[in-house]
Amino acid sequence: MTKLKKIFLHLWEDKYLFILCFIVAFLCWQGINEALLNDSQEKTKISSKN
Amino acid sequence: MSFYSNFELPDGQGWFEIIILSILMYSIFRFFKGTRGSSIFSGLIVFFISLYILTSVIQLDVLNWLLSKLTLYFSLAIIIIFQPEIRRALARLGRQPWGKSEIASQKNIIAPLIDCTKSLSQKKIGALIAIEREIGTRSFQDTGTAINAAVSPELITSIFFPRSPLHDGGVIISGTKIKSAGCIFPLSQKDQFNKTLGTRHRAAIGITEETDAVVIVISEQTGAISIAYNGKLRRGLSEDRFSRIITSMLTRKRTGLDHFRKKIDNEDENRGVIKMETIDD
Repeated sequence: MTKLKKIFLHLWEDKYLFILCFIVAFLCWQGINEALLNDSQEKTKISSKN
Repeated sequence: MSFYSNFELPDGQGWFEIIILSILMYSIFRFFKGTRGSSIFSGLIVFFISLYILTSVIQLDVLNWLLSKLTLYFSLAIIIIFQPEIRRALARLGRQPWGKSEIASQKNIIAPLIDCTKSLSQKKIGALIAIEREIGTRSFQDTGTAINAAVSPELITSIFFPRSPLHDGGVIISGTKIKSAGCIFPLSQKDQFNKTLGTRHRAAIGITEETDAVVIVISEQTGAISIAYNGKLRRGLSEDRFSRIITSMLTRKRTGLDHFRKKIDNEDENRGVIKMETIDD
């Protein structure tokens, strides 16, 4: 319990850095997700043509 | 409005992935914190995010496309810029318990080391002695002169005696032998050390950041004895304290080192910084 509390305390001290990381991660996820969607769409197009 | 339409709201799995990504990024940021590369890293991140948001809001499609293509080179640039940090991280990874191998007992070198450290400290002769543990120091040994002799207080004292050809640089002890002298150690790039520590102490911290070596430093100006391990420095040790710590580290194999590391970590937490009393060397 104290260890968990320590981790949360540590995160709270670094909250701005963590928020920045969260924003970057969100943007990265969006980009990767979009690329994956485009990829799967292209694959279905090719398979439907064949 | 179109800026927001670019984003897709993630589902449960998506949020989970984002949280894992954030934790990974946070760990990377934490790792780079305090190093020379941290400001470059933050600068690059801020630059790319602001440019990405700007190009998306104003719908500058060409710039946006260029930015998406540049991200590949950006990842390559990160590898080049952070080469020392990545090397350190990999070395640390190799130091984890699952990769641990038996360390040969170094009991035999404790007495000569204590003797020569006391003598050098009393005479105020600067010294830098690295004791190799699990991670090899071959690359650093090659920068000096091969010695391959048994550890003796007389030999170490004569190596560090001012004006002797090998007194500049560090000595590396591997097993129970002095492998090399006059070795060049990497300097620590941590910003917190830049103004407060001299080259010898920074070299001691530098080698412990890349390897698990234990380093003894003796200040030329004050004769103060310090021990560096795991990228941290403990300064101004009394002769008795030094004897106890070095005996504990070299006899109890890994537990001695872990004990020392934990002790230093606890002290850092209590004090907020590493113990540094004087500015010397």
